[in-house]
Amino acid sequence: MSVRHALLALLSEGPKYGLQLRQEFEARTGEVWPLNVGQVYTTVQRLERDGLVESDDGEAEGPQKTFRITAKGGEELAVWLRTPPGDAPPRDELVIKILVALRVPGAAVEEILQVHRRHVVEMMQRYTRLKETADEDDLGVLLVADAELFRLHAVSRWLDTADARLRRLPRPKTPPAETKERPQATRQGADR
Amino acid sequence: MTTRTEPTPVAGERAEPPKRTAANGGLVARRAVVRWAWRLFRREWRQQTLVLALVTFTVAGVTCAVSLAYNVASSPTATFGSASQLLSFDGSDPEALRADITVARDSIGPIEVIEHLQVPLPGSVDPLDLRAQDPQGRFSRPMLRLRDGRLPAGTAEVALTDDAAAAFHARVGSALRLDGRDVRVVGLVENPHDLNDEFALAAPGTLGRPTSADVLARAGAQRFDDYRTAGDRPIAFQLRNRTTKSLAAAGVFGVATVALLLVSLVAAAGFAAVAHRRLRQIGMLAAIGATDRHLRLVLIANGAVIGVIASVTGTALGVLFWLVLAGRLEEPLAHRIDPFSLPYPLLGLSLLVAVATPAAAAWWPARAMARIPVTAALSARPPRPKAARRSIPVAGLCLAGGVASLALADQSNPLLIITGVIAIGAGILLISPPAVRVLAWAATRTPIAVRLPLRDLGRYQARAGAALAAISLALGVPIATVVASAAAEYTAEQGNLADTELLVRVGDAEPVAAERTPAELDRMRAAVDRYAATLDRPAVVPLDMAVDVSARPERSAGGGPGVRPVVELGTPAGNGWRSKAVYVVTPELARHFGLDLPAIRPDTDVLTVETGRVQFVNVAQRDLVPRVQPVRLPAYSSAPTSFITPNGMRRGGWTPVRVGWLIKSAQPITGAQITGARDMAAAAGLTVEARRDQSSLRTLRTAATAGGVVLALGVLAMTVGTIRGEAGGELRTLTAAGATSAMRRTLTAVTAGALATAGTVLGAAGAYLGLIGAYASDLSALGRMPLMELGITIVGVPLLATATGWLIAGREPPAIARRLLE
Amino acid sequence: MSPVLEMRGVSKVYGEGPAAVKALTGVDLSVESGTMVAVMGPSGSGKSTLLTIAGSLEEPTSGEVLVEGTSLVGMSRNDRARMRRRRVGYVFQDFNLLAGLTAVENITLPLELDGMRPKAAREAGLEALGELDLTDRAGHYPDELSGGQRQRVAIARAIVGDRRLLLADEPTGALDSVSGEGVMRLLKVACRRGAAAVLVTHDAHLASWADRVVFVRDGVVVDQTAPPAGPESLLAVETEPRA
Repeated sequence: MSVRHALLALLSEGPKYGLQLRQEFEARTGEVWPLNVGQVYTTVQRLERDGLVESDDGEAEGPQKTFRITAKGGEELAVWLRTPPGDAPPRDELVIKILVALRVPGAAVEEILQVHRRHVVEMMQRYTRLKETADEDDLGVLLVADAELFRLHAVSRWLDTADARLRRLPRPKTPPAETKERPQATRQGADR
Repeated sequence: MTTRTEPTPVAGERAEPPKRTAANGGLVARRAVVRWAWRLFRREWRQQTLVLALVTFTVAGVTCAVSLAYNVASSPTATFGSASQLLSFDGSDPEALRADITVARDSIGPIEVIEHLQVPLPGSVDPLDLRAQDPQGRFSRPMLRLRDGRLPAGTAEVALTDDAAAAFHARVGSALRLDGRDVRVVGLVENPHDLNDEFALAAPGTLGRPTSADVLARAGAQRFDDYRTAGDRPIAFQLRNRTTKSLAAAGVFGVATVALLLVSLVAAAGFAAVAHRRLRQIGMLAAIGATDRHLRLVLIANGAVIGVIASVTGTALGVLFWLVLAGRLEEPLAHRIDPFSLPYPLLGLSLLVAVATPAAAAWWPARAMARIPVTAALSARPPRPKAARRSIPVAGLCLAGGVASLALADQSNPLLIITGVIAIGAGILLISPPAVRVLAWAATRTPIAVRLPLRDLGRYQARAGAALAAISLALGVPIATVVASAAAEYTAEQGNLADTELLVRVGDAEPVAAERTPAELDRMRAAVDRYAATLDRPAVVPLDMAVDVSARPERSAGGGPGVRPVVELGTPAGNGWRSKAVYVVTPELARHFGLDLPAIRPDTDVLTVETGRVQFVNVAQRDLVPRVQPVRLPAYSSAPTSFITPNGMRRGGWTPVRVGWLIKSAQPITGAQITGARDMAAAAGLTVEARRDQSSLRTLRTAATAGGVVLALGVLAMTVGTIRGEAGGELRTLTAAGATSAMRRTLTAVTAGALATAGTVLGAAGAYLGLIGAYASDLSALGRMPLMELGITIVGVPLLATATGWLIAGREPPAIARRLLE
Repeated sequence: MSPVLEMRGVSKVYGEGPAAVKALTGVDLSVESGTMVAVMGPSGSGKSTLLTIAGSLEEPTSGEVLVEGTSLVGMSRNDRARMRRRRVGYVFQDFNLLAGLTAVENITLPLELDGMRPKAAREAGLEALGELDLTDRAGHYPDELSGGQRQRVAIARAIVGDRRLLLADEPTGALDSVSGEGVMRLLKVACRRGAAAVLVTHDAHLASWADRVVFVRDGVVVDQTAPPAGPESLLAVETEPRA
C-alpha cells in the first residue's frame, strides 16, 4: 500500500522523527486517513529492512529515533510515483449487488439504484462540505476530497448509466402503480 | 483547519430599496434597452447592410427625385418674368400699338413692354425673334442673363443666344446682317428659365417697327378684369399659372412615400431575420425581467437606428447625386437650375418619413418576437413559421387588383394609379418567398454545387425572399420606366418631326411649289446627299406634291422663279379648314413609310392618319371629295402623314412636283448637325426643318436602366454576401471534404445568378403587368420595345451577377478566429 | 420563517389530447432562505421545467407557486416581469450575458430595467464585481471574458439588488472543474447571505454542493437526501472497509 511511499515522500523532505512522520502524514492527507503509531513504526521498520531508509544507529529507540531516506529509497519513490496504480478489482460490491438484484424476482431494481444514488450523493455532499470549509491552500485536503468525489462521481455516473440501460428494456415485472406509490412514501419519510 | 472568512452580509443595502420611478422602469429602463439595441446594431450592422442599403438608396432616390421634380417643371418665369399678366399686341399698325400700350399703362400700370421683330434666319423655316428688352426691366429681369460680352446699346448692336449665334456662325465681335441692317454681336445672352428660347437681343426702343409687342403687368385681378373688358376689341393675354413646382415635388414625394412603404415591407422581413438571430438574447432579456414593451423596443430602436443612418447618408448621397445631375440636366430640361433651390420642407418631411418607416417596419416582427414564450426563446426554438402557402392566392389577388386598378385609372386617376402600383408591388413582395421555394424545389435533381446554394436560398427563405423582392422592385421600376417611356414616345409623338428626321424643302415652306429645272433639282439632291452622308446610316426619301399644271405659275415674292400652289388636305378646324401637306405616293415613299401598295383599294384617293372629314384644298374642282383609307403613322405635324394615291392623282389630273427630301438618321440629330443642314440649305437654296423641341426620353431611359441595374446588383451583392457568409461554416466543411475552388465559385455564382434571374423575371413580369393595366385601352403602344435597355436589364444583370459571383468567390474561406457570442 | 420559494402540487402538461406530454406531476418543493436545493435528474425528467416555473418564465398547468409569499398564478405578464427583475435571479448553463453590454452593464441591466438611476446602478454593479475580484473586467464585453468569469458575472447579476431567489440551470456546464467550483462557491456565499437557491443538474458532483438534493424522475420527485452531516462524519465513514 501507499503508506510506505507516503512515508518515503515525507522523509525525502529531510530527516524526521517517528511521531513527526505520523503527524505530517495525517496533516497532508486531510485527516481522512487516520494511522496509528504502530502502523507508522511497522512500515518504517520494513523500509529500513529493505534499505530504503536508515536511522541513527542504535541510539534512542521509540519516538526520538530519526529516520532519513537512502539513495535507494529515493529511487524507489521516483519509480513508484510514476507507476500507474493497479486496476480496480472487477468484483465491485455495488456491481454485484445490482447484478444479483436483477436475478431476484420482484426486486425493484430502480429503487435499489436510487437508494445507492442517494447514498452516493450524500457521501459526496460530505466531501464537498469538507472542501467548502477547507482553506484554499490546504492542498492535501482538497486533493483527497477531490479524489473521493471523483470516485463517487464515477459510481453515480455508473448508477445513472445502469438506470438508463434498464429503462430501455421492457419492464413487464414492474406494474406502473408501484413506481407512483414509492416516491410518495420516500418523500414523506425524508421530509423534515 | 482554517475557516473562510465569510463576507459580511450587506444588510444596509438590502434594507434600503433602490429608488424606482415608473412601474416598468420608465425612461431609465427604456434608455438601457435602447443602449443595448444600439450596441447590438454596432456589432451586427454587417448582417443588416441589406436593409440599411435598401433604405439608404431609397432615401437617396427620394431626395434626388423630389429635387428633380421640383426643378424639372418649366417655370412660368420663362415668359412672365416676375409679372402676372402677359398681353400681346400686333405691331402691324404702329399707331394702334402705341395707343394700346398707353391704355394698358394707364389701366394696369406699371407695365413693361418688350418689342418683337421676326427676322428670317438663313436656311431655316423658322424666323428669328429679335427682341428689344430692357435688361433692367421691372418684370423681365429674370428672363435675361448675359453669358458673354456685354449687352447691346444703340441700334447697331445685338446680343444672341447660343443657337442663334450658331445659326449665323457668329460670335462676340462678329458682324452680321439682320433684317437688312448691319449689326455687331456684342454679347451672348440666354433666357435662364427657357434655354430653348432662341432670340437676338436689341437695346430697348431700337426696333423701329416691331412685328408685335408684349406687355408685362402685375395688376390686381379685379383691375385687370376691368381693363380687359373695358376695351372694344379682344385682347390677347395670358395669366401666370399658379406655380406647379411644389405640386410636382409633392406628387413625387407621395410616390416616394409609397416606395418607402414597399421598402419597409422588405425591411420588415429583414428585421424578422434579425429577430430570429437575437432570439436567445431576447429570451435572456425577458428572463432578467424586461417587459414585452421593452422587448419590442429592442427591435424598434434597431429600426429607428437604421432609419436615422439611412436617412442621413441617403439624403447626403441624394443631394450629392443631385448636385452632379443638376449641371447635366440644364440642357435637356432647357432651363438653368440653381442646385440649392430645393423644396427644403418636403426634404425635411421625407427625412422624417425615412426615419419612421424602418421603425414602423420593425414593429410587426418585434411584436411577434415579444410573444414567443421565454423558454422557447432561450433555447432559440422559435415557433415554426406559418407556411406561406396562403401568400400565393393573396399575391395573385394583389397583382390582379393592381392591373384592374391601373386599367380603371386610365392613366388619369392618381388615387387608382397609386393603389395599382402599391398592389402590384405588394404582389411581387408576396410572391417572392414562394418563388424562392420553387427555386429550391427545382434544384432537387441538380448536381450538388447547384442544389446546395439553391436549397440554402430556400432555407433562408425570409431573407432570400426579401432580397428577391428588392431585386425585383429594383429592376421592375426601371423596366416599367423604360417601356413606358418608349410607349410614351409612340403614343404622344408630338412636335413637328421626330428627332431623327430633317425635312428639306425646295424654296420656302409655303404651300407652293417653285418651278425648278431638273438640273437645279439634281444639284440640290446632290447637296442633300452629301449632307446626309455625314449622318449615321442615313435614308433620303424624295418628297413630291401634287400641282395642277394647268394653272398659271405666279411670280414669287422675292422675284425668283414662278410658283404654283400645291394640293393640300384640309381638316375641319373651328369654323374653317386647317390645311396640311399631302405628298404623292411613290414606291420609295411607300417603302420608307411601310405603306402596303398592293393592299390599297383601287378607288382610294388619299391615305392619311387623319380620322375626321377631309377635303382637298388649293384645287380647282370644288366637288372633288377624296376617298380616304386610314393608315397608322407617327402623327408629327410636319412629317408626311397624308398621301395621294395614283388613283387620286388621276382623278384630280395633277402632276407630281419635287418639293423636297426627308432625311432620316439612325441616331437623333444633334444641334451641330442641324446647323450643318442649315448651312447646306442656305447654300443650295433650300430650307431645313428640324425637330423644334429637342428633349428626348432617351436620357431618362438610359438613367433608369443604369440606376436599376446598379441598384439590383447592389442588393444582390449584399444578399449573396450575407447568405453565403452565413453558410460559411458549411463552406469550410466542404473545403475540408475536398471541394475545390471551382466548387466554391459555383456555389456563389449559382446563388447570385439564381437570385438575379428570378428577380429579373419577377421584375419584368411585374413591370409588364403594371403596363398592361396602364395601357389596357391601347396595348399596341407596348409593342415598341426599347430592346437595348431591356436586353441590358434582362440578360445583362443575371450574366453580370453570375460572373461576378464566380470571380470573387474563389479564395479560401477565412477561419473565424473569434466566434461571436450569440 | 416562510420559505422564499414554495411550490405546491405543481403540474405542467405540454400540448393537448393524445399528444400531451406531462413534464411535471404534483411537485411540492419548498426552499428556505439561506439554503441551496439541488434538483437532480436525467435529461427529460422535467427538472428544467421546474426551474422555469419557479422563475415565472412559464405558468404551471395546475398547482401554486409562491415567491416570498406572493403567488405567481394569475399574475399579469408585466407583474411577472417585475417579479423577475426584483426577486429572481437566473444563471443558465452557457448563455447568460448579453453581447454588446460590458460586464458591469450586464449586472446593472435588471436594476436599470427597474428604473434605478444609471449612476446608482453602476455603483451597485461595480461593488458586485469588486466582491468577485472582477473590477478590472468591468468594461470588458462578454466575448472578452473567460467562461468562468462570464458565469461569475452572471451570478453577480443574479444577486445584485434586493433579490432572494437564485435559479441556476447547470451553471458550471462548460467550465473546467476548478472554475466550476469557484462558481459553486459563489452561489453558496450568496445563500449564506440569505438567498435561497435552486440548482438544476444531472451531475452528482454539482448537486453535492447543495444542502438538500431532490431527485426528479419523469416529472415526479422520487427521493431526496437526508440532512447533511458535517465533514467530521467522514472519519467514521473511513472505518468502513474499503474496496
